[in-house]
Amino acid sequence: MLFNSFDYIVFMILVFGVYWLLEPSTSPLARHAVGAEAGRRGWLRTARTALLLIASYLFYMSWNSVFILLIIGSTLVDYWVGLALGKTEREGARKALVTLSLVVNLGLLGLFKYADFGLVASSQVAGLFGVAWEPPLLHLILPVGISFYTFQTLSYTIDVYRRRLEPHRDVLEFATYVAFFPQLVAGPIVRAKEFLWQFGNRPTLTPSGAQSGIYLILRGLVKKVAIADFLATRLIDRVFDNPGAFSSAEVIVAVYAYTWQLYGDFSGYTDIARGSARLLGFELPENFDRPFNTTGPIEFWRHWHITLSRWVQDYIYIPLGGSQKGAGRTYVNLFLSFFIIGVWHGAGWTFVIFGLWHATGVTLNRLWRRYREKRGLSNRPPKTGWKRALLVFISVHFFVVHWPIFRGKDLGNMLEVYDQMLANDWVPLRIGPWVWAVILGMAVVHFAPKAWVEGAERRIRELPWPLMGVLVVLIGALLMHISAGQAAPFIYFQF
Amino acid sequence: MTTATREQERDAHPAGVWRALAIVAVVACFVWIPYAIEQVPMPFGMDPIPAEHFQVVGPDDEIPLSDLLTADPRQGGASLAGALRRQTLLEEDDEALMEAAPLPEAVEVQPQRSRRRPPRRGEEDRQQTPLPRVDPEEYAGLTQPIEDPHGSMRAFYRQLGRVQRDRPVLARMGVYGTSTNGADRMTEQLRVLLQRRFGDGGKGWVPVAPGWRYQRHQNVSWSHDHWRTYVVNRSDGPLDRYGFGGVLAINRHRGAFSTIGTAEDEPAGNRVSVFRVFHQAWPGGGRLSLQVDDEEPRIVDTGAQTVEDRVETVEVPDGPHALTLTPVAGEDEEASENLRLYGVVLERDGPGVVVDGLMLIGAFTRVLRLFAPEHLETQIQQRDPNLLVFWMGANDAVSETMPFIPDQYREHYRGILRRYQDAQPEMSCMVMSILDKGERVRGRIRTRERVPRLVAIQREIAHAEGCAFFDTYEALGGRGTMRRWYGNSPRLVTADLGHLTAAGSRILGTLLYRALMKGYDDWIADGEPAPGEQ
Repeated sequence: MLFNSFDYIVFMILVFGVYWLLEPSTSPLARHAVGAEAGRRGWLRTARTALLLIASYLFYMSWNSVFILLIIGSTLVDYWVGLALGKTEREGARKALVTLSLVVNLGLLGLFKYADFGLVASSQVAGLFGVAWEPPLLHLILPVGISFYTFQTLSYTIDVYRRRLEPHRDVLEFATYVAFFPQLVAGPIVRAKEFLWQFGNRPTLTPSGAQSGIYLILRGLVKKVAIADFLATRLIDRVFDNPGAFSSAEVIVAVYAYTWQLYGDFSGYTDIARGSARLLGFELPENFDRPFNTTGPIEFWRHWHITLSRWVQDYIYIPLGGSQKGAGRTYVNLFLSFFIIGVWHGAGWTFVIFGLWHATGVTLNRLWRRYREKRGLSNRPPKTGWKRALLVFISVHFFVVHWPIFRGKDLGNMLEVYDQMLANDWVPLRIGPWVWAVILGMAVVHFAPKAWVEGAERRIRELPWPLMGVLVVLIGALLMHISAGQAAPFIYFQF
Repeated sequence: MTTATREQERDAHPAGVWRALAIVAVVACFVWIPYAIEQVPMPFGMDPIPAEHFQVVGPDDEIPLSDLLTADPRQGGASLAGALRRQTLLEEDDEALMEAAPLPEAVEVQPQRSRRRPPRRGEEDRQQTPLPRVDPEEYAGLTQPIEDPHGSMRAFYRQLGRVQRDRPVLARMGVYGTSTNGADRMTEQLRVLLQRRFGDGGKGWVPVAPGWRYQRHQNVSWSHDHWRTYVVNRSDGPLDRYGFGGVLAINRHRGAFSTIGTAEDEPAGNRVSVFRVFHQAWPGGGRLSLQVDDEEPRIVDTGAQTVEDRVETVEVPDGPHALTLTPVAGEDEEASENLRLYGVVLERDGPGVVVDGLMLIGAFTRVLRLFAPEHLETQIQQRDPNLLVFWMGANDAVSETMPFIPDQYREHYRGILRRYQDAQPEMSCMVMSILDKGERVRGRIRTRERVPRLVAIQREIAHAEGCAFFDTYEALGGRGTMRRWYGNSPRLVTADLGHLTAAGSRILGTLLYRALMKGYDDWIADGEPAPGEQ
């Protein structure tokens, strides 16, 4: 069940209705059930949590029922590890427990996501030394969202191990945290300490919260359907499927357009996830903040897939020593961290190159800052002016140039795209006016002053509710027309 | 709970919920309207729009969330039984993908043939022993057999049998298709699998220059420039003579060249022992240079009193080679537009199989009528295929500008099949149906209504004309294939919901190969002696 499908809208309305029916502040039925006994309030809280858990499992099972067993298994192991960590102070035992969690979670991730790639890569390396080896491949199907929920549950056990978080004793709530449907399959990667405490609060939904939740869902759908899918189906997929059939100009425009497809797709998903969670009284962290309006790779990673980069920073880069163990070690740590970010996205050489590309970018960016520091200049990026515009321009092109690496189906396809980009073949340029409009319109919105965009968004969010309803209808109709109904899968589902 | 607490609770949070429900109610009202009226009136004298266009769920659509309850594995479903069955299907698909998608590395093909020495002339009949049955593993996973009530495929199977008996012959197969095979991907898979089993007969047909920007050929190295091409679709070439492959190349000037050679590091097309250059000799014909690798070029005069189709054969030692075609011009000669070239065939000495990918991109089925009849007959006889496959109809199924008139379609297609069969009566003939064609309607990808109708008509035509029939549509999954294959990872169809990706093409190539092997096995099982082999 995709977010951008009518099924999801119906699903969300049903879950929303039943969820708030179980909350005494909104439902006379629940108030009647609670009666005068305070003890029953806990029962309703459990019922609400159970509802979310069942809904989340059903949501996941709409892709693949069997793999729900993986989520349940991972949940039970981490729940038990958390409780056990809470009961022991012996360092040896604690290390053993957290190692168990790491082995189980990373083992499953490795088995399903990396086993075949590892075998093929080993065979390729062996081939370099003249050893012919045909590896026995497993051909396992990658469970949807495994990269996301694995990192989530690991954040819990590691934080409990580090004593930054108390073990959570309510198994239903913990299971709901792991499988919470708005963010289950493509993030944001929510840490336990950002989420579990929200079960303790009474669910809250103010009128402005409701309107902003609906607005977020609407914005996400526009990004997904009117921008990402529109560009993908009208231009990008065709070009990447058969680059040789297009002129250099067309391939280059498609590569630029991929910037907005990827951003629209992933940030659109996050918007829908955050909006859906907000309507159920939960807050999920922001994952994007105008990422291409940044002055270099360092700043970019603070604005793009924020929850992943923070996760890698806190659980990989800093434990490796971060920048505290000398310059050489810092760069090694950076490369390792970005290598992991790269292969987190997928098991393939293109993702290895993707990770190393960003590691190189961040390293160069960092060296440049150090150089300016040594010369007594500010190492902070300019906030306005032509220097900032120039840096943003360079930064955008740093990403545009590497899109074929990220988007290419494999190394061959990647090289084919680069080859065609450089083929010096400038006609024809068969790109429709609406595709141009979306590419340029998106650029205008993305690079416009933040205050303008936020002001416009606030005015929409604060529309009177009947107008908000009409707006939803109009945009819904427009999206149905644009997409002609196709609900394309989100790019980040594959990760 | 005290009254005060209850009131506090009632006032604390509900407003947002009611606000959200109010907005949902507004939306629900608008969603309901198209179900309550028949058409939406339009201003300025425009025609009213049927309200059905605005319905979120139409009468034929699945009910939202129904897939959570269904156990139909093709629809997906959350019930455990459905999921387990779906899982099995996915695994099968995945296996098919894994088997079909990664093409083997370039290797010297070792066909599965008997180790007996090839028969000498006259010995052939005496050595006739039954062919071994095909291992059922070779066609395991077959989704759709070839329908051949008239035994049209016997001629091809007979030739395959000769190849398997190590006779120095080639089994030639040509596949006319549209953009669905525009990059030679399906035929490449078929070529690789057939050659792996029966022997490498070479790459086959390659036009001198592509007729369309999207035209690609696999298993060959191919560079070209300064040719003007005319394709049968447009029917704008001189004398309606476009060659066997439907693309006529004419040199723009003396600088025109085309180099066609064996491929490197590809799973097929790595060796050649004969180049055959199909060209037109005509009163204005100029001299053509044929240069193999760096050797001394051979000069061919394409001038003639009358127009005729010729084939120039260039034999080379078996191995990797390239043939370069250029116009020959004296110092004062323009040498422009004096060569009319149809294509080059790369073959090896038998035994082996050759698969020609003959793509007519953007073509409607009826364009096959546009060849000059005598020319087409000559071309077929000169190419001498044992099987011709017609995979046409993809554009007929989707065109909104050209009306689809079933009776006219029948008449055209039947005439085409007759013409091809008349040209080479001992040749096998097979019609491949179109694959699914999707359209996006109300949030879902659907099979276009015309598709199953067209498939039924194509089956009827094939049977009526004594051709075999392969139901590509059903082989790939029937109704809803585009929806499922578009959602697959990797994607098996392109975003226009009408074409296969490389991975999808390989699956189809594998399925067709399995269908051929099943048919071949049935032919062997029937034990029918071939004419001339008694």
